[in-house]
Amino acid sequence: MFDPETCYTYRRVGDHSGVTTNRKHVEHLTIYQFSTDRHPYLIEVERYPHQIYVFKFYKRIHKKNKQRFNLMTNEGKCSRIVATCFSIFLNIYDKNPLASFGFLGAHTIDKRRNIEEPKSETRRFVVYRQAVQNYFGVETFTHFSNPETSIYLAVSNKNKDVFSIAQKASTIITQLIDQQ
Amino acid sequence: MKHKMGKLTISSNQRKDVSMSVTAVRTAPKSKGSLAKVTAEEIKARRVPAYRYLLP
Repeated sequence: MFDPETCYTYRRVGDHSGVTTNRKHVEHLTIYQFSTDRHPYLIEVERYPHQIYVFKFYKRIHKKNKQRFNLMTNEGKCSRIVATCFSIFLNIYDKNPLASFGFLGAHTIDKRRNIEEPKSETRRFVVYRQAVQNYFGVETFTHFSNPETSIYLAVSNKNKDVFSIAQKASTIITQLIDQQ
Repeated sequence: MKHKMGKLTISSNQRKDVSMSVTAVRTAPKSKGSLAKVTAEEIKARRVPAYRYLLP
């Protein structure tokens, strides 16, 4: 499960500087596309200060949907999709060993079944955390998390001060939460 | 007539009230986005050992 060897073939479809994305704190945005048997998906990789790369994905048909990260795909392809994210991150890490990996496990919103999950320790957070901890060890990364907001950050130990990076990331996260 | 100025007597009940009001100190709320380190022991306990590391 989640093994990058099982990842989908992906290609880069977008490259934007932080200015054009109009997203606070984002220095660069790269968009990748891949397709499962049924649907095309997009992965957004946002680069934040201190080489923090945050991964987000959703079905391409939900691109304009404000809740695109909260919807269930019901395809059962989670492990291969996460493996695709890992494969992209490994490529980034290969070129830049200071790169750190982050994600937010979005809470599920399913209007049809009248489900709105709380934002703390979401199902996505629990699954992705397990995947990251299975594949990224403590020799290469120092792991940080905030279960209340379902945010996870694995900071590369190649950085001089991993705790200072986590501290700065915390400040950015707090600002982004307050902005919502 | 002589008056003693500035002498204050406090009953034991009043003393209790004063000490209670001093201990009611407000603490600053924790930052919403603060990240806590996940310890190696915690990771080891949760990790499935059968998986091989992509990065150790």
